[in-house]
Amino acid sequence: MTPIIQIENLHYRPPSTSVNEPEILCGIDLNVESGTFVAIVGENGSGKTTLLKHLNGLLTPSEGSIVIDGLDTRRNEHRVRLQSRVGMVFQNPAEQIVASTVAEDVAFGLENLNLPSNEIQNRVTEQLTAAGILSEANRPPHLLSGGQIQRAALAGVLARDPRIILLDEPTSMLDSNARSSFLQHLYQLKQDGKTIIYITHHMEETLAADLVVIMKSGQVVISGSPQKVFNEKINLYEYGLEKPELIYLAEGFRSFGWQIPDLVLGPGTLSEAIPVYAKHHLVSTRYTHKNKLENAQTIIDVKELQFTYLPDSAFAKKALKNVDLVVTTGSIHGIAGSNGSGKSTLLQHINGIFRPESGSARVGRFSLEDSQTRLRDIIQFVGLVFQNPEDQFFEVFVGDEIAYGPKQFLMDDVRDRVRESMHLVGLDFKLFKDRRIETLSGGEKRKVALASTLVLNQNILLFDEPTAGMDPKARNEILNLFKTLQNEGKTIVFASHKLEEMANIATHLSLMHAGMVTKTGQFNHVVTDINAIKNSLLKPPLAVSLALALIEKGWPIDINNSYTASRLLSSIKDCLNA
Amino acid sequence: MRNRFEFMTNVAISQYIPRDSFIHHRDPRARVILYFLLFIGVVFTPNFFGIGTGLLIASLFYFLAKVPLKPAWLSFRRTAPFLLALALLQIALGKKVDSDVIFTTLFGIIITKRAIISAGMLLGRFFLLIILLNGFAMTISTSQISAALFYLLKPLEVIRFPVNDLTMVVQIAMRFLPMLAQSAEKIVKAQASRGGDWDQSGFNPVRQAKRVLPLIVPLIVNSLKQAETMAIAMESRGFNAAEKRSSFYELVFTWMDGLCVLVAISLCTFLILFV
Repeated sequence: MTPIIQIENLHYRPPSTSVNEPEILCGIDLNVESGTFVAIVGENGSGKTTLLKHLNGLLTPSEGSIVIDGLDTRRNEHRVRLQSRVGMVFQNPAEQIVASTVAEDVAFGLENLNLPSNEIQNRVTEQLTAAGILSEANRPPHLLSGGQIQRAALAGVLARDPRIILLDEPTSMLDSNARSSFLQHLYQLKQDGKTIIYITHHMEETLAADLVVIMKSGQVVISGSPQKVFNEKINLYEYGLEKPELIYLAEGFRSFGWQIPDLVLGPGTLSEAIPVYAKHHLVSTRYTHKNKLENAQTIIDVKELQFTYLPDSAFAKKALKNVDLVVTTGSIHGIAGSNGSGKSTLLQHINGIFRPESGSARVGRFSLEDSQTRLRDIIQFVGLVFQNPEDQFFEVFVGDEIAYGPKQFLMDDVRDRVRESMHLVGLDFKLFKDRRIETLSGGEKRKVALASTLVLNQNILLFDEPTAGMDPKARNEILNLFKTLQNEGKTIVFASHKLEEMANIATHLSLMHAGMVTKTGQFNHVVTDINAIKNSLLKPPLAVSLALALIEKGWPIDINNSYTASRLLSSIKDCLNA
Repeated sequence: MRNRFEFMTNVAISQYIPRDSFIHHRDPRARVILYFLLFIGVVFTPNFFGIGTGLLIASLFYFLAKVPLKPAWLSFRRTAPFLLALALLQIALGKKVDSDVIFTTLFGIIITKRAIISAGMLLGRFFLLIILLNGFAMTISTSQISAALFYLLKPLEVIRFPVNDLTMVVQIAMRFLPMLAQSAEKIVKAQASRGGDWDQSGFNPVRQAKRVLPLIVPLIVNSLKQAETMAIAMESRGFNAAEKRSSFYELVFTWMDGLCVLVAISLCTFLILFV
């Protein structure tokens, strides 16, 4: 059978760039059979999105050829047919929504096919039902949650019934539940015979793919089945990637001599392979490690905080309902919750951007409910890095962007501060200060955003989804930065929906759900409370689920000390050696 | 405490509220004609009686459309300082003729009865227009506007007027307003949280201008980027201005729609000629 996608020696250099500059894609060969699920991974700036844009003819090769379902993308007369066979969901789905209600947007692609109104209406209802957002049909898109808008965008693409669906990091802003239900939806589409090309930074999402393609510097460096790609002795970190946690744990389990099949698709396979604990059941002597921050002072104290978006309008939405939060000095405090649970709104209260509608918030010596408390005073004490900070740059050059804050406060050591903050995030001062921001890669831009807040040297630092959209390498760099900042005595609060990621660094955790903090405390206590996590519509970390499975089989595991993959493996090792 | 970083509240357009109401059930074409005629009537009505009648019509409209009045009132409150300034200018600098009745003299400025009346008219007219504009925004979606415009302007295709392009431009422009507001909100928050001068509330035009200027460039850059993404997204979903498009809405013009248009024509004529 002829492959549905045939890429031969694909080279791409934007038409306006000189021949001396490196190509964005250099010599890609790839064939994809119809009905295949292909996951494309690679570090930020490796050319994944550019490759995707070639598949529906938005870009045409500078050299080489791409044939999609028998249509050569270079030929103009194939354009219309190509667009109806290939659908694409973009990185930021909000930007691809054209109409003012969800239903009208799904209809957009059908209107372009010049279908009769009643058929359009039927197809729209069908798609919205399949996507589970029929109740949102008449809502304006900008008022939907991240997960809903992603589904709306996909519904808009599916309505045209394409044979190939391209998705560019569609789950980067989704919480774990929204992500797995979105993925389920995609697997269903694959079952229905669609070919799916899927870019992601979440390595565990690639496990169910038929083909994993790893890209680096515009080339396909490795491609093959997930078993092949992740089981070979390949240093994935070199490509900005890491092994999925499931594979890492499977390898660990194998090293204990447990029978783990080659193909591990879900945690179920691992928990089934755990043997019953055979040794004499010792009462765990492991101490629950004392938190050195136990007696630390409270630095943030939020009580019964309430807040409503767009009050007095038809779209009023209560975002915070009686939030209580206590953060102690020097801690790394994670705030986890599903999309729309109120994490961002809470963070924006802590640095004074929003003020309490009712309730109180004390941050250091500032009372935020007091209208006399000036924002400029608060932000010298509390810094906030927003979600997707790259969208909020307003200067042209890196140095100017970072220097904005110190200049506003008329500080006299602006240059030194900029140099220091750039050093902290790992950007070379000389090399980067005069670079234009738009020429930076995604990871570098994120670093500039971090530096432009850190430059004010505040005591408390707030980060909203700091690692969203980052490749695993950049993600680890950011998390290590948090550690460094903590060691410098800073207090860090960061919102995320990835508990696994928090597990490696956070000392405390608060769970949020529907505008309330539902559980708060030391990280290891909260993260191992499966019910509290599930009630917050999150997924417990894989290590915690497996630790529970071990305990069920009689293993004397201290769950409070086994909530990350590496901690779990060492706990098991201790039990085996006992 | 009012939240000064929530720009979305300032955008009337794209605040469409789907309701099961008499107004919402009218054919989009009838609605567009209705709004157009009401606007014309209010703009050209010559006296307070006309404004009063207009208010009655607007109240009836809100009642029939089952939409809240509060957003309109909030919009008016936000624009009130500018309108008041305009009204004062009208009183102070309005044209004066010998036959004018002098009301009083304040700081050497002669204030005539006619100037006060015309300032009052100005305030009343704007108040009414804001109410109608909000009512309009809440009762018709952007796709409905573009579908209606497409039909209403269709005769112009004879003279090769690009109707398809124009209606799409209108739709996109309206989709862009809330996006622009969100984008502005993000940048302002980012600047404010890094020491930008957004702290002071109150009315200080110079300071406000100073704050807004640094916003303009990034906002334009962001909009261009978003526009590019949207254009690509539209293209990849098969949009081609040269091709014929159909509409999600089946436009059915009933006798009730016709009746509404007739009523609107009569009201408009009444407001302009007979009050």
